[in-house]
Amino acid sequence: MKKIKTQIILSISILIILGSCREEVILDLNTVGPIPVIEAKISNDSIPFKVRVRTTADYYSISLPVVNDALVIIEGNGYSDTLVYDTAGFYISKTIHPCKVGFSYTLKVTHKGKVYQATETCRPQAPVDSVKAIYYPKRGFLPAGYYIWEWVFEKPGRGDCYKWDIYQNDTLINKDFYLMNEDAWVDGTYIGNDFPFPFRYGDSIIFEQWAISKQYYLYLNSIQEQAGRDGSPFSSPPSNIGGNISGGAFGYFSVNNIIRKALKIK
Amino acid sequence: MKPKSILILVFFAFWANILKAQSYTISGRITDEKTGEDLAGATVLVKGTSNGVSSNNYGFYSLTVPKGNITLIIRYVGYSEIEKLISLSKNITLNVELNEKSKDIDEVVISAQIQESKTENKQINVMKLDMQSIKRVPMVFGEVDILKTVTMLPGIVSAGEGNSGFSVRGGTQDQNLILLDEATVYNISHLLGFFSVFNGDAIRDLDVYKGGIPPQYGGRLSSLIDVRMKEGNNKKYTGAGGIGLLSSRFTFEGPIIKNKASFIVSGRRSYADIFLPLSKVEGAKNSKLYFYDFNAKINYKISDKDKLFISGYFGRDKFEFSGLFGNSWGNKTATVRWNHLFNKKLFCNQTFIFSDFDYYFSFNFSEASNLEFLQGIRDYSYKTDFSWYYNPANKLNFGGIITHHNFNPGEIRPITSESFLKSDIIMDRRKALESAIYGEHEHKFNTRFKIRYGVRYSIFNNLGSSKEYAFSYDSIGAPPIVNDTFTYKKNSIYNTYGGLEPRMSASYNFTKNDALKFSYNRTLQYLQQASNTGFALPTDQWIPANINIKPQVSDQFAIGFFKNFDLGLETSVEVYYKWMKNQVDFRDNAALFLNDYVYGELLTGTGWSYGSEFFIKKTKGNFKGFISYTLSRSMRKINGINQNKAYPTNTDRTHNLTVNSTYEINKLWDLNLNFVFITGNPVTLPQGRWEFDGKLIPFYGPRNSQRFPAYHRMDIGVNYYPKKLIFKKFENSWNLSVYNLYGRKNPYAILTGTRKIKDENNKEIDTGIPITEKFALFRWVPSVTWNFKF
Repeated sequence: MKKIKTQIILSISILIILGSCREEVILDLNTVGPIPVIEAKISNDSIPFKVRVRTTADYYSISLPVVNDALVIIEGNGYSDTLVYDTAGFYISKTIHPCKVGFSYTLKVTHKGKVYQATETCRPQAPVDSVKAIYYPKRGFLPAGYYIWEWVFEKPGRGDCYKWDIYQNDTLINKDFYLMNEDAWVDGTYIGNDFPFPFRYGDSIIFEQWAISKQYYLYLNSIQEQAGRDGSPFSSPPSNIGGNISGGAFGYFSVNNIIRKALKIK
Repeated sequence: MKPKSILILVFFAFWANILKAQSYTISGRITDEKTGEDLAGATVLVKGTSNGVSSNNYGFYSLTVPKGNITLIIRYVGYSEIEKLISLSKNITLNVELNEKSKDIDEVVISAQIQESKTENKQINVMKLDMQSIKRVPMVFGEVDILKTVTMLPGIVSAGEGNSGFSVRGGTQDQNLILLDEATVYNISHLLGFFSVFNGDAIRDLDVYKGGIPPQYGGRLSSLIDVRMKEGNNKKYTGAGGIGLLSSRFTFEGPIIKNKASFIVSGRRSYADIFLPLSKVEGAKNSKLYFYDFNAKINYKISDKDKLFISGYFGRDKFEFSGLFGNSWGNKTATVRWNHLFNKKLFCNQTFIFSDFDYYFSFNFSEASNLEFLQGIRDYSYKTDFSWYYNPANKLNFGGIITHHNFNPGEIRPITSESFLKSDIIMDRRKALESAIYGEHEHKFNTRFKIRYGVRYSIFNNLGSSKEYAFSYDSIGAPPIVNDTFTYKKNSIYNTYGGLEPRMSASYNFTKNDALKFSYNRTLQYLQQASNTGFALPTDQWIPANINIKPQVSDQFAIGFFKNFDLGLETSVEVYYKWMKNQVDFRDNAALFLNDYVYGELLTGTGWSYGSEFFIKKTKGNFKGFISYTLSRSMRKINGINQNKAYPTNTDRTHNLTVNSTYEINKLWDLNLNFVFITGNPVTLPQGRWEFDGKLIPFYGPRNSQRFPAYHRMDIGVNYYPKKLIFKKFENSWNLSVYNLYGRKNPYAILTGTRKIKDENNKEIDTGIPITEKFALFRWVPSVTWNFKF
């Protein structure tokens, strides 16, 4: 489901009628930390694994401090590799191992004597029937243009979650938000998904469908919610998002299964 | 002494009184001479004694006194007092009409105020508000708002600026029982809280109970706001209305059968949407944003013994944006009441109640991205109440109520056939029965000592057909794992809760002018609103107790001292302590919307609150007003939230001061001034930040551990009542006010986010630099309203 936050809609209505008096203030905030932040996404793609290790920072600081002296290991399905530090907090695997459906993988990060560990399983994909770009004239607030439709057979059995990334001429168009859905309302059915982003004649499109775990789906939902949380009375209570990494680190280790379709509008 | 032996003693005192009596009963109704409307809370007193009673909500009274010649004094605040000489040798009916005091007769004003200022007439925890004084209070946009006036009373905290919601003695908003002619009002605000659903022109008066709730009422922990609609003038046709900046209203009332039956209809509509075309926001031109409400009531005096009332309310908010999405919500209530007098001493009232709230939401972005959604709650109730006026020293109240609740957690339908949603999704409805029986004894030991005690026994049954789930968790606060599913047959009672709710209050008058009062009450609550934000929104659904969630329980003690001074000064101090069990909150990052497993997202814990309330009121002279101050604390401890440590609730305010004053310059002008000072809201601020997928994520310290700056503001209002020149019957008045006179930027919210700048093409660019911003809502809001009456 394209998640529609009614609260946001409702608060827009208030801003429309009132306008606002907003001013930037510097608050006296307590600082706690640093706490490690680990971002690790691996998949069935034939590319090296990449893990980023940084730490939390003071709220007003512009960037996060990187960690360049951690020991980062990924193993599973008979594979094991110690990742090598590259730059900007990134660690890269020496060998290539596309993840296999049904197998579990474990990430182990050791830093300053502490171990941070997570395990996830690679999930099966929903068979994509077809992906097409169809031209529409102006509809409501949607301008005229080519729009992507995907037809897909959702797998029977509840609990499947999907995430989509769409690239327009190599630029991720949903950079600021996650396009995600779970199968709660569409379990086991043949679905037509349309994506409300207009494309132009001549565009190169890469359409990715990621099969993700329910835990990762909920985690990304929380990320979206907390990143979008502005502190107005209409926003949900502030909370700290715990991922799947043990040892008290922020972040998530996800194992993804990706289907990719390339389109050229011509 | 054991409680049981106290009970026996009280009963003995009661029966002893019965045995010695050899008397007759005077009974009847007290009404307004001009309109024929019943006067609730008028007193009937035997001159020279302390024997007296007050009229009930239907104006009925019954007084039993020894035979002989007596003089009765009948009084009501703001009305001329009447004395009647009676030679009592049999039971008699005495209907009394009182005349509203006119502004010109000063002596009457004084005598009415002497009556008002008697400490023995004041109940602990209870405040009565009349519409006349509510209408004088300057309000934002000049809109008369009874609920915002309620928040000026001690012990009550507003949920925030521009919000009708409030917290009573540290409770949550869903712990307030708000009744409109006995019907529960589930959503109290229009336009997300900028207006309350109560149209000031259709309301007669209201009682606010912060504790000591009579056993007749139940189902909510913290308070009872008992709002009564006007009945309609049964003598002549009259109208009233007002034109304001954001809304207008009109009321018409009159007799159907003179002196026997009357009606009132009242409507109101906002027109904020007429300004939308001026908005720069794209799409605003084709949008809708308004609310309306409609009140109606008929009453019919069938005979001296029977009276019938039918009343209803219908209100709705609509918000549509450019045909892309729509929101609409509203309440409907209906009440049918039949008063019957079995004999001079036994009064009974049968009530049928209907209450409904629904919330509708739709979006229609494209052929495939569209759906509509509906959720709501609907109640049917039957209530029976008896009052037995045994003698002036003893009154018994008893009765019962049964309510059928029907909860619609959500229905989703596709709008077009191309919608990604291929069929309707209808979540299982929940049904429940909530019933109670109660009994209460009001006893006057002597002129000084009065006691009122009783008990309510309430039962809650979950009814099938339904599905329930058993949950387990990896750790407290983790997402729920469904372990088991239970299916229940249609109309089967599959889960039952119940409990005794003792209520009592006692008062002791040292002299005519000072009294000490005490109260204790236990209340149970079986429904709660699933609110995940600081505000109660129309999207927040009501969910019943079930196998996963136990009913909320509260015990409250309060003690108060009341003292009056001859200058027309009334003062009181009340201290309370409240302990609340099974308080509900949601785990962090809970999914509430359209979640079959919403009960799995709940966490329960305890809450407690305590405070002292000070109140000074000046009722005499041209300069009137009150000062209300509360010093209080309100805490919660819920395992799974705030690392299982106690934290202040969102409505915790250490200091809460209100000064309200009115100065009558002359008969044409009066001036009103308000001042409010409240400790800043508790807030959870970031203690650092991190990033994920390039998104800035703040991380937080202990919940509600920091505060907004203090909130304060001053409002000023002027009322002008022009002389009646052309038509004698046509009265009109002007109200001019300025809200937040000195323009303080009271923080409505502290916002976190990233700094956005505009490039040379006026396009917004996110710099990614974390900032905090203060957001203030209302500064110098002027308004003008024209009111009329004929």
